[in-house]
Amino acid sequence: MLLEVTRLSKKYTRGGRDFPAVDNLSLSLERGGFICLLGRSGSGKSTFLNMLAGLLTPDAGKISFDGLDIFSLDDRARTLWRNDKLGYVPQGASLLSNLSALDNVRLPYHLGSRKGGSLKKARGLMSDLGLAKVEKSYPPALSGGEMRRVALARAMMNEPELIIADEPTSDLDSETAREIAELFTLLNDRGCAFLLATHDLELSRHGRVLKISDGRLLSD
Amino acid sequence: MTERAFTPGVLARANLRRRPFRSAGLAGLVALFTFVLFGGTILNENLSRGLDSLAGRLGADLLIVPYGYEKETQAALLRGEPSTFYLKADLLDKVRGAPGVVQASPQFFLASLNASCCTAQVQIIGYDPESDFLIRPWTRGNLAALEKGQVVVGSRIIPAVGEELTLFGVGFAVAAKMEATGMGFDTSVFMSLDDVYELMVKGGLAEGDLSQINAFISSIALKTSPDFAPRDVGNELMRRHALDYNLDLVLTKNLLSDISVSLKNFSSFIWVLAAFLWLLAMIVMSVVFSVALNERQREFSLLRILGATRGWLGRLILHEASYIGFGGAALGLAGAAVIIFPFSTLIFQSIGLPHLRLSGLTVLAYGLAAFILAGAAGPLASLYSVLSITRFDIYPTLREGE
Repeated sequence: MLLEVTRLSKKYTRGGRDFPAVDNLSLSLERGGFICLLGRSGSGKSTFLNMLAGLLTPDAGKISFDGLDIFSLDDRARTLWRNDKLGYVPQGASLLSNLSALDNVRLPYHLGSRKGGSLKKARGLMSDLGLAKVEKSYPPALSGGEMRRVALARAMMNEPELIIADEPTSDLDSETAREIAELFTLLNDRGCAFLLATHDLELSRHGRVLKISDGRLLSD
Repeated sequence: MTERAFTPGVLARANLRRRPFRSAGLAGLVALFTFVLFGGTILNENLSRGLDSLAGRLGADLLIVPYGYEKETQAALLRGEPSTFYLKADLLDKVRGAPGVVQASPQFFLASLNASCCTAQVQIIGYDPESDFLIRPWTRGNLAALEKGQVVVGSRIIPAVGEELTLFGVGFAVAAKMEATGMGFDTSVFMSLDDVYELMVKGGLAEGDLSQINAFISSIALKTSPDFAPRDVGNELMRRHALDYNLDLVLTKNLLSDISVSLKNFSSFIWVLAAFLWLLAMIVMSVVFSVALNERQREFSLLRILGATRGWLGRLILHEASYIGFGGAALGLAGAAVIIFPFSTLIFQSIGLPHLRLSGLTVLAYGLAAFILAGAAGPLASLYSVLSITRFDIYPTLREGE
């Protein structure tokens, strides 16, 4: 099993009162698997995904990635683990505006301890995702779909075992959303596991669908 | 395209390039501080050395000049402003016998109208090589051997030793060149009293024969006995001869202390201004970095998500701050070099104080010190931001930055 989540919980405080964003949630994902986490805004999807990525510390529960408890690692080790094993596509615009599309894709490669160049690989990925023409463009000059595809290419750069994407089609038109969904399928077919949070039914046609509401899983 | 790794330095440069106005504004502030610090220090040190040289070598305790010519004498000595004035020469013997006077030596100040050597007027100073102690300290001892028709020139007079200098149509052989004094001597021409008198006749500056002309001098330099206060010696001379000879006195100690006060004021002004600008640069940069940190929360969170450690982000901010700090410092140094060095003569003339140029090595040392002090303002100002960034949580910060 690639990912095992056991009884994960996270509370937030609002107006002086605690409320559970993620409540005693467990799931597992096999290598090359595809899970769509479906739920409304505020259902706890993003909090859950951010804990899976090691960006947010849970109040209780355990996340085991390939047998490794990721919160047993210190911050630096967890950061390098994320760089090495995980591709993460955050919600909304997530490209660095001071770098070209190509440099955005290359960047994660150089944040770890890898040696050698990243140019050939980044260009190959961009070509695969239909981005060859925009490699020199800066994010403000890209369309929403292009930005999302660049973010996806960036997430693929270090050949991760799992890609987590938070609302990857939330602000895209239906045609572009469909293209992005097809890309996920294509990449999943190449062996990369996916865990998506969405309220887009088009995306939920792919893989296993889990519904989440008030931080709890409703169905499988 | 050449392959380059994304180090904090590379990303910092990309970030600065994409924010040119902010980067240039901050670097400009550091440049201004560096300019004042470096330029001010160089000017100040030049003046200090000039004053030290003057204090160390000015052999005279008192100068006797014609009444009303105290300022002209100072201007001639300190700035080389050409001037001509007269005093009856027979006063010299009377002064030599006065109580407290150890040595007395005459000078004759004559302003040239033009000279083949120079684009401007020069001060011609006639002196008595036998009794002189006013000029000798700057001359490496080569004035005593001056022969008829020979001159010694100040360090900034163009003809070299062995060449000829024409004054009022009369040619003189340049026998020696003085060391730089930082004073008016640098633009003066020195010759024996006899040669000055002869020049006045040949150049048509005075009528009559030599015996009438050499009855005049311009000033008398006095060295007083350690047992007497120069002011008391001066007062006694004034009491005895002021009415007959229409005298005025220049106390060289006062001359130096006046310059010293001016220099201290200038120096204080430079240091206060430099300190103010450094503080201003630090405060402005700290505020800008801190504000930028808030604006860039999402950017930093994204970097953390992609795998940048807290240390990597800290290094990124330090690099940005260092590029601004040291870039601005280099700009300030270049600006100071471009403005101060080519125009130093004009600047020192307008300040009107004795000055001596620093050696290239000393200027380099001051430049390096200013570069380090100014450049360090950038990283120092970013320390709070660096510490802050090592503490923030990624996900909440990402949400706040949305």
